[in-house]
Amino acid sequence: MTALQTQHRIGAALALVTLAALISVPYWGSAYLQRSIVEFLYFLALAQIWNFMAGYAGMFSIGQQAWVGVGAYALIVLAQDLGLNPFWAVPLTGVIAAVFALPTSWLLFRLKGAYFAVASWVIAETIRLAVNADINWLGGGRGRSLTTMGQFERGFREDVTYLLVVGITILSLVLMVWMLRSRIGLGLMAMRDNAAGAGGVGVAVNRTRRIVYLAASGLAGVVGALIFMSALNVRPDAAFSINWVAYPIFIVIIGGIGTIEGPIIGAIVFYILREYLDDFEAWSLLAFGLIAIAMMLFAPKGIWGSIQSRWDIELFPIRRRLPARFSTPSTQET
Amino acid sequence: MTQETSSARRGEPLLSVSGLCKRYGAVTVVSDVSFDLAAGEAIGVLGPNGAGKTTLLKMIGGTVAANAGTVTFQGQDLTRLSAEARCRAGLVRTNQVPAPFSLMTVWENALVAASHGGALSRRAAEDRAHEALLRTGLLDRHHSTAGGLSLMGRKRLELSRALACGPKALLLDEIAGGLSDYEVKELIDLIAQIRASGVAIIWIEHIVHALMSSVSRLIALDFGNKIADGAPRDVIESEAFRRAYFGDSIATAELA
Repeated sequence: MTALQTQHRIGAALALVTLAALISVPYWGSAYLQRSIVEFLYFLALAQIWNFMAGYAGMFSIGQQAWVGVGAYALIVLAQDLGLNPFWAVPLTGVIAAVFALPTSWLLFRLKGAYFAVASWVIAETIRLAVNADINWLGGGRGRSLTTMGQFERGFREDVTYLLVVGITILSLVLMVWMLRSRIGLGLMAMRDNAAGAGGVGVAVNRTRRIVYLAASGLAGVVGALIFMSALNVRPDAAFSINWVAYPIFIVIIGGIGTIEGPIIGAIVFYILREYLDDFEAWSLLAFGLIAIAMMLFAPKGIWGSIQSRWDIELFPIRRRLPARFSTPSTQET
Repeated sequence: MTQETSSARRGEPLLSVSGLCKRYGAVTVVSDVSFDLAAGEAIGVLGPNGAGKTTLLKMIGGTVAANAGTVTFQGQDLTRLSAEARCRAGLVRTNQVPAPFSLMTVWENALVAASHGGALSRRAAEDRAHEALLRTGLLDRHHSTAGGLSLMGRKRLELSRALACGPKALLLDEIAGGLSDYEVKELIDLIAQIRASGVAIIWIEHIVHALMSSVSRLIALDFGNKIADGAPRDVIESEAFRRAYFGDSIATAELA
């Protein structure tokens, strides 16, 4: 067994143990632990999604909160107004977020780099302002409550929400690993390194970007629905808060952009930091900012990226290697 | 050589360029250039700096949109198609400045091209990528990160990727530029092999001897106009070509 296969086995073992521990928490953990894990996983999922867009497809969006908010409001409309079972409505919120994201992609995909980033933020702000001021049906600035959740007993409600959050985090992770291992993933990594060059070898750059953008928006919508399913109340300022993209960016930068392992490490660091910094209120934001700047200056590849550049480690099998059936030629002069 | 060219030109051309024009504002970079490329033919493109060679190649490859004219490939009009689509159709261009996927390995670079440009499934793509790297002599470096390759390595990688796409016509933009004499010689051999396997080639190069030994036909450009087209020796010795390179006085002085 090669060192690499050993690493992948370790990765798989870690993933399975973590998954088993996560699923079993409702049987033995306290409500506080459960809520903490839920919060941790929101940010991990949003960070993974942002990493997928920025780290692989080169789309530096600072407007992902738009789809978190749309997902949250979609849940209100589906469950509260249309009377759907809120749990079954969750996957639909993702579809709705992706449908709303599609026309914005027509606009955004004409832009690159910083212009893309700014425009994505403007789109998110526009949606927030529209919901805040102009759509009375959605409750304006005061928002709406998810009273229909009252039909479920509290313990059951929290357990199902918890399992859905675990599910969506695992799903987004599995989806990403699967996509990155596929033909699309090869194209994505090529686009990350050189978008024009990728087009030159036949990668359908815009189509691939659109697939990633819509998948990322849909997943963010589902996360948004789940966040507000436990909050039971949706307000525009909370649903479309810049924090839904700012913290994930922080996590990805700390952990290592363009890797699957990075955001997981980043989310753990973020969560620990937040536990300690919470007491300092507004100062904590300043601390996060300083840490992110220091990281960008001194370790731009993040924690995992720095580890990887020193040792050839990979826990999730994403990279492609020369298959064994082509016997490696001896080192000869070329 | 003239005979070979004329026999290759019989029948339907593989690629037909007709009336291609490119203007940037008031500046015309390529003006009404037309020519045909037969299957398996190799054409060299010469011209002073700024003659419009790279722009012409980019219009054929699809990264620059033409203001006028058409590009027909295997009887299909590709003029409105993207570089990606042209690459999948078998019309592949290499970059003058290599554009490696620098964080990926040499193997992955070739695999991207085979699976996307070649539109091959997993196993077939691996076979094609392997074959391409074997031909360019980069297989030994399969595990190296592309960003760490030398200039020659990056040029070979550029060629490996183009080959992995499974081209019917290859557009080479100054692939020998910046290489040592020995490396140029290796490259000429490699291109001869590629040509022998039935791939048609359009090759822009300033290194005239490299072109002369590899192509059966030359096209000369000057200020965006095609000024000569024919057997290499005839083009090099033509008055129009000499005037473009050496100016009026020398051309006429020598003729006198």
